[in-house]
Amino acid sequence: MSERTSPPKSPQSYLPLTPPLFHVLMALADGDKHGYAIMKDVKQRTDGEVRLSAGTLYGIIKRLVASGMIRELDPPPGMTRDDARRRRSYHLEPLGREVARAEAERLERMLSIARAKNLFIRPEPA
Amino acid sequence: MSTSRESRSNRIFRRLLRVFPFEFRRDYGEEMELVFREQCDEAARAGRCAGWLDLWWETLAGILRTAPREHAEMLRQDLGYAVRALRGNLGFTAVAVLSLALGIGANSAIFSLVHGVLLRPLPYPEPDRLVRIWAARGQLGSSPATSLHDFEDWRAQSTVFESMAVYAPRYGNLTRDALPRRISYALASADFFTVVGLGPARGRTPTAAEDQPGNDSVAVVSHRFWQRELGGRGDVVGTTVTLDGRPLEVVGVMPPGFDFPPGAGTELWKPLGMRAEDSGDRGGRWIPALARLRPGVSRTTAQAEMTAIARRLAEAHPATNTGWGAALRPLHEEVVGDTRPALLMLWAAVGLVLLIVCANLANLLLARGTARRQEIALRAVLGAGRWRLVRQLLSESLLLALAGGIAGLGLARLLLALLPALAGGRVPLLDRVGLEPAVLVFTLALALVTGILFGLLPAVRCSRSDLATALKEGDARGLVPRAHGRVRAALVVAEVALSVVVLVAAGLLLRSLADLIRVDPGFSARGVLSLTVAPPWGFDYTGVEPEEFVRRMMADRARTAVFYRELLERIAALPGVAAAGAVNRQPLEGPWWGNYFVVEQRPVPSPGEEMHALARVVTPGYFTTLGIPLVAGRLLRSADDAGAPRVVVINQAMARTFWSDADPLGQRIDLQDYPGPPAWATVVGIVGDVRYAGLQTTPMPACYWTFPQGRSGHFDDWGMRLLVRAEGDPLPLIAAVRREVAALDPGLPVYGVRRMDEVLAGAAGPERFRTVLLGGFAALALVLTAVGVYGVTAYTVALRTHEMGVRVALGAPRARLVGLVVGQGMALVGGGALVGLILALGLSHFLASLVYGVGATDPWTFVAVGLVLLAATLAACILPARRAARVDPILALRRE
Repeated sequence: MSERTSPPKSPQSYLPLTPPLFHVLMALADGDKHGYAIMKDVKQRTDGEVRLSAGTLYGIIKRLVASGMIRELDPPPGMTRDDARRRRSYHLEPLGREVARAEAERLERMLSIARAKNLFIRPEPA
Repeated sequence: MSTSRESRSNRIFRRLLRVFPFEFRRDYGEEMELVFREQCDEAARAGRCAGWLDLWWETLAGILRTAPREHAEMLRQDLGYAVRALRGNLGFTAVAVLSLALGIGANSAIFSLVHGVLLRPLPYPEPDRLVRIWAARGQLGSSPATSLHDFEDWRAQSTVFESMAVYAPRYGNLTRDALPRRISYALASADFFTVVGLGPARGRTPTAAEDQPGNDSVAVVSHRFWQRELGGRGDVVGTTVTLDGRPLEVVGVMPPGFDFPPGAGTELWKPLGMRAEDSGDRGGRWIPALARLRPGVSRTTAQAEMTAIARRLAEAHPATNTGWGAALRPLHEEVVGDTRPALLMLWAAVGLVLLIVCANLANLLLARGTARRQEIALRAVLGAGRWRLVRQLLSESLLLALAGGIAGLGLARLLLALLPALAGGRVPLLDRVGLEPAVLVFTLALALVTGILFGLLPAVRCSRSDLATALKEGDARGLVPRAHGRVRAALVVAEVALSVVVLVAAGLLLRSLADLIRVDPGFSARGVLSLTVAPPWGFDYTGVEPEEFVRRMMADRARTAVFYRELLERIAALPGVAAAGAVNRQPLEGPWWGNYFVVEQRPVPSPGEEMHALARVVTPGYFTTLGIPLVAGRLLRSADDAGAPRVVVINQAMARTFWSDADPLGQRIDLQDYPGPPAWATVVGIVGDVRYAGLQTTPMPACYWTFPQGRSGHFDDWGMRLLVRAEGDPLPLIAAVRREVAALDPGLPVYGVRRMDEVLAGAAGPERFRTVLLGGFAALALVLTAVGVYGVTAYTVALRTHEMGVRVALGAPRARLVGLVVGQGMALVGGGALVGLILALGLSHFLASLVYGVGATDPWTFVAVGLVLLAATLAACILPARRAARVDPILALRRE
């Protein structure tokens, strides 16, 4: 089982996040989920624009667990060990929440700059 | 159908998961399978083929993105662990890196040599299509040259060559600003540059019309010649250079680096300017031939055609061509000569040395693994699987090997810098040897293979530790699996065996070199100076008939004879000169020049059974100057000039070969060097044999003629070697001799100045080169083997400390303990020596081709190797044995 292997760092030091990693953190922001649920949540929220494969998802999960941003949850009572391993759920840790918030704020700042530059105003046709 | 597709997809996905590292699969594999199964369910419910395609596309892309990253992360962790482990034991790390640097560095250096000389193609387009054509004569030997008559017939009748040319390397006197310089140039037929496949960087090559007598006053020069002699000027085409007194118009300049053959140092090419009918008899084989095979034509096919053509020529010209064939040899083989077996032997030897290094390091790692059992057991308990442990341990070995490889490159560079001095100019293509990209790739690959070779076995063995026992006990001694000891012993036996092979090869070469150096060359070299002068012929010989050529040549020869007589008289009169003489080809310079001869009143030999002897043109002082003894009769005298009765002196080999049951003195012979009636000469003396062809070659029959009476053997590019014996050090005489030459002919260069003792030492140059290198490798192998024996013996002593204590406590003499330890160590050495002996005997056939004067199974060499090995390994065993004898029984027993 993976476990946290690196010492905690400040949330800012993890930025910028890759879009898939950011989406995984946001998927867990509103509650614990297992792998397939995270995958579906990301696909639905982005209208299918961001689609995580099993390989991509679990590569991200491994890194998030190692950095302490998420945590594997203990299996519910009554579940067999094999079922528990297959149906493992993940919980967003405070660090992960801080990192997701910092990334969101970073994106918001970029959006503000784009608005200030009138990037969203389309020129009138001649 | 959907269900079968799902289960097939799941099976495929499960197999694809194997690309991930084991630990990743262990932690997330089942979850990933479940997730993928659920994705398949979703795709099946959607029922769209495009859905499956999307799923597989995303899945494969995700695996390709994530798997390499996971492996890289594992590798980073393993390397970090390896660096920490090696830093924690700097002594071991230093010893390991040093051993690897020596082994890998030696291999890289020798591979550079092999690559540059044997593997790299020659620097011409499609060089594998270039061949030399020899005039082959079966058991009677072949000639590297042919006659122009034969060449023109070959060219007219063959269909397998794209182009053919003849090419004659020569030396000439370049005169520029009244300062003469000897240069290497070549006569080449019109198609020469077409055969080679390279054209000039400036100007053009000579045309076919310019390759005719009287029209051939043109030349193509090398890039270096253009820069040095012609100032690198842009308008060089059309300028004039003077070679041997003849002005030549420069029509082209070859590209930088062009040389033919590689390493020859040719500076100028001029047309041959000769027709076959002007070149003498068809039997005079004097000019090398070169050809380029047509595309797609194999050498076998071409050889078959040339053999048929040669047969037809023998039928058409029986007097000159009976028994003569044509043999094709790849140009690369010609250039490389007989260095191939020696280089391959050196490469094999350094390979064996590297294997010994690997065995030593494997032993060290096994011992180190024993000491780290607790650490390894702890890692296993914390979740590291067995193969992860193997990978981590192997990472250390690979890191050591890479560090050793990098250090080894530095060593290789140093060794390559020493090569030219060691080789003494006797190894061809040495200028192409260096740390090329191919050598760097080889070194990297070798380092990786070496790391796996010495690291895998210890990694697998050490990762198989008994966890519970290792964690409970802190001290590894006494708990090591017996199998480890057996493995280490086997490695030592292997080391000793390999070491014996290398030592035997080095010992044989050393004996061979010693025998070669002791060979009597037939002359006294000490205190003798050799200088060369080559006065150009003073007559026009192009387009004349053979009889007229001989007449003009003899007239010119009479003039040149006066020159040499006067010159040698002046030199002999110099202070410090004991004797002076001259010869057209000095000892150890090679068998060329020679000719057929007939003996008066004996039947003329039939074609294919002619009598042949080396022919040397000399001045009377030659024999005295070189200390060649007179065996019978008299030496040549000054009175034996052009007007006197023709006389000849022969050597003992000629007397033995052709007058085995008669006295040759008084017999008359004719050296058939020119057509026409015989010019009989009386044998007036027999002298001792001199090795002209080389130290390894049995003296060949040879005959000596005075310069005025010899009709050939003096060519304007050979000149004569002036030999001056000094009463003391000969070097101060060089300037004086140059002055005497300049006094008679200011425009005549003096070149090729050498001491004859250097010539003699250089004759064993190739043998010395490989003996020094192999001797160095053998010494390294011996030291490594001794270290290996010491290591395993010390390890055994450490393991058996308790037993030693018990034995001493029970009254065993300490000397017996020493004997016990030494006996065990030497038993391993004995086993390895036996295996090595068998291997060495098995390789004797190959080694036989490389040694002189000693058999490849020479018993004295094997005995000497055994004694050297015994001494080294005995010393390696005694040190730990004495430590065993000093064991304190109370301490040893208390510890247990």
